[in-house]
Amino acid sequence: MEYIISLGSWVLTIATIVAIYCILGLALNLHFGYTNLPNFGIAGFFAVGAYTSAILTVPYRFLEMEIFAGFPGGIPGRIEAPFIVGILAATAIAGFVGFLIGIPVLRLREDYLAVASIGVAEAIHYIALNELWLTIGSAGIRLIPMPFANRYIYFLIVLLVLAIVYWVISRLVRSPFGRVWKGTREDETVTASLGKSIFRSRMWAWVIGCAFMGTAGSLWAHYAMAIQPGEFVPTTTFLVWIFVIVGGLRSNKGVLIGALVIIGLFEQGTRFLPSFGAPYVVPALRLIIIGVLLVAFIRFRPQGVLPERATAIERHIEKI
Amino acid sequence: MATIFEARDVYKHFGGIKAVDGFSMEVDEKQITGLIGPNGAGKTTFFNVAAGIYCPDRGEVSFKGERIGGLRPDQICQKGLTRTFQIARGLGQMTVWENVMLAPKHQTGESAFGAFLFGQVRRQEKEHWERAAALLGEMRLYEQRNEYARNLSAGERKMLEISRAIMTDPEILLLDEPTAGATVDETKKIMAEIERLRDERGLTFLVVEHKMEVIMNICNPIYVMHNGQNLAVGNPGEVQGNDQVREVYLGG
Ligand SMILES: Nc1ncnc2c1ncn2[C@@H]1O[C@H](COP(=O)(O)OP(=O)(O)O)[C@@H](O)[C@H]1O
Ligand SMILES: [Mg+2]
Repeated sequence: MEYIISLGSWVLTIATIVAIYCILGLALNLHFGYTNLPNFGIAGFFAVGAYTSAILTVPYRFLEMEIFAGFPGGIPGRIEAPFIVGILAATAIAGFVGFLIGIPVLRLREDYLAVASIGVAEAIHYIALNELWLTIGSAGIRLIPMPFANRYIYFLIVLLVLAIVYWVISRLVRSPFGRVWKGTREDETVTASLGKSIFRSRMWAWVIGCAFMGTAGSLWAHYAMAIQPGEFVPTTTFLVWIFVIVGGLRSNKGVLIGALVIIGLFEQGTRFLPSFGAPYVVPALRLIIIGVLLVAFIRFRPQGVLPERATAIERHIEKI
Repeated sequence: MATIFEARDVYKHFGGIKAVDGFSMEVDEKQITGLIGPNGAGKTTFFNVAAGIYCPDRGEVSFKGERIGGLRPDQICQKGLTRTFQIARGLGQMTVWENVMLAPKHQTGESAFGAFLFGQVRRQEKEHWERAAALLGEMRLYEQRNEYARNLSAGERKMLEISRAIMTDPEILLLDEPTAGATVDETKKIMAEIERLRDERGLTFLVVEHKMEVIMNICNPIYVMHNGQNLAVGNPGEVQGNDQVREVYLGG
């Protein structure tokens, strides 16, 4: 009986984490798959969303505890906003931060953009670590409320948000705007010569993707109920990259499958491996397995599990 | 006849290479103006300046009396000037229909919010496809509408590129070697299409070509460019009879 309860709880944990990662993957697919914007700063936008939501919703009780403990830092004011405000603000602020960063960065060539985005994520990490008045620093924020204080209901909320994000991105990609993104990806000069503003179309794809990364961050903060700067490190970014490539760039369904396999494996999958040797062997093994999988995919199936498929015009007209 | 497009003393150098070196021309409305010259004469560079890919070092390019030198390619296209490329640049990972449907201007669905105006987007998509389907039929590309552009032959890619340019509803089309790589049959088709668009829709063309049959049959007047400069201009007979032109270009 106890075993069944713990199994159910384990599945719920994985399912929630996978669903949150799915949102990050869909956002990266929009950036890199559809628009050719290699964003290696996913963890940064994820952090912006998580911190925005946490700061807005954390109960004053937590701040009192901090002050009582003689901690000099603090979070501005007593806001105690509801979850819905937190997640919407997280989406908006992450999008806005993306916009500000996009102004200089989107004019760069792809390889420079990749490097710049890593730098941006690091900068955000250091802000979370050092701007104590805003983030409390390395100790992180605790007591972040989970809506309804129920993990089952919360999982349904995460699923609902995932469904909305999936629908919005799929719609955009199918729409005439998505066509401009594809054109920009294929050949900027040609697409510009057809009257499309490359900067504008790239900026929108960039901002929308960054915003949804913020959404995912908010969902994470309210799930974990405590966040620390140390969580928002490049490992998160690389995991997303890996499962998007394995699942299939430019295929939103592929991204979902990739997230399920890779994140499932990474987070908890090694539970099924018998333990042997020193205690650090098994956790290290999961990274090796994922690494081997990635190399195998790039070598033998670069298009991923579910590659992009062309839509026939007849179907497009019917569905649009 | 009204002049719709004009270049005055345009310069574009790349380091020591004087690609365009004081070139001037006028294109009259509803005419098919030819631009010829040996390889490396500067024709493609001149197109790139006219279409906003390069900013001219010096000189003025104007369209409908408005200076366009230095504007961005998308701005110039929005004003009614569309160009094609010498080496057909199909958007390979997009289908033929996506290629042509990308081109129409002012699509409601081309913004983050507009994409969610379902009724309007659907109506426009249907309208644009009706027009595109007819054009693809004309160009004998209709059967391949659901193929990726990269799967087309060289000639078919040229036809696709011209179709795509037409779908932007331009007032002037700059075609850079529209029949390069096309079969004899396709070349005829492209020529006929250019003339039909001029006659039926009053489109203006500026055409860079190497095939004599194309130039001498449909272009008038013809500008001859050499070392980035004007060498001659006139009707087909005059250009053919010009000694200087024979020397540098027609091979005597
Ligand atoms: N981006 C560039 N950088 C340097 N040189 C160039 C560039 N584009 C064209 N050129 C040079 O300018 C000259 C004219 O080229 P081009 O305009 O392509 O001639 P055409 O189209 O008449 O054959 C050539 O010598 C070519 O090598
Ligand atoms: Mg050329």
